[in-house]
Amino acid sequence: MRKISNRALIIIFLGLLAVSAVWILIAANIEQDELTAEIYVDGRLMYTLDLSKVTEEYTIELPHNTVLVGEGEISMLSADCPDQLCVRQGVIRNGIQPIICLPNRVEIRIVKDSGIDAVTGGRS
Amino acid sequence: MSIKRIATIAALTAIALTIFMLEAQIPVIIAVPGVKLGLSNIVTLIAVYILSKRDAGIILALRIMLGSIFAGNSMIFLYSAAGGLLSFASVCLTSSFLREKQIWAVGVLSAIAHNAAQIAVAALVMDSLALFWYLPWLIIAAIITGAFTGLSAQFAVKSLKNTRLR
Repeated sequence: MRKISNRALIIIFLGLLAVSAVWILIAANIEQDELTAEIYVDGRLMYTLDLSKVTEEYTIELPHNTVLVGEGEISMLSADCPDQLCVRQGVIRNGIQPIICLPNRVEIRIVKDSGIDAVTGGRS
Repeated sequence: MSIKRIATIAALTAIALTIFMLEAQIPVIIAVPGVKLGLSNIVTLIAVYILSKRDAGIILALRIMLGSIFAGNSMIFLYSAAGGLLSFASVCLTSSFLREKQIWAVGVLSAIAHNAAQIAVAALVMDSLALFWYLPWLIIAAIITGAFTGLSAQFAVKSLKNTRLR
């Protein structure tokens, strides 16, 4: 097999690094008009919320986590998991990246709403 | 298998296990599930170059099993095994055509494989494809940590060159 030079490898990896960085920057700043947040526990949809209609911050208590719902944003306020990654993640404002609490199997994600008027606190 | 080989495998396994346990205590900066320094991969990489792929595989399997037993957590076993398997597969593939001056690149690719496997497992566990949005974060972390561990292994292999271990 043809030998690959060290320099070629460095270029490839730096390129990959750059692409990933650009992807992250673009993804974090995408503005979405419709902000419907869904909270899943154990893979089941527990709450659907319309973040654009939130006027005052409020919290949702889950068995092991507390979710903070704000105007156009949502975040994990607290959790009883050992790593606290979900809490340290901060707020999300668009549907690119979810907030995941892996140990407690909680997922918060923002979706592009398909037109249904989202209801707060709906259990399904 | 010679006594020397058995002893070397045992010593490397002990080292890998120790690194694994210590590393579990270090908190990670990036808030993404599955990101860690992957320092015990240094041992795997060294083993591939000073012993054989099969021996490195033995060390890896032992480290994963014992590591999850000592850590007392069956989830760790799942993630470790998935990550270890894919990263070991990538090491086997790439070490055939990358020279010894490029062990760092083997490290990078194995780190990417490891992280990708962990995201896949997390996606299965959470039953959600949204996990894959973490991929760019994981690629960046993998390139940096993989280069570090790969380079460390590269220097180690080089300095072991004229000793009785090689």
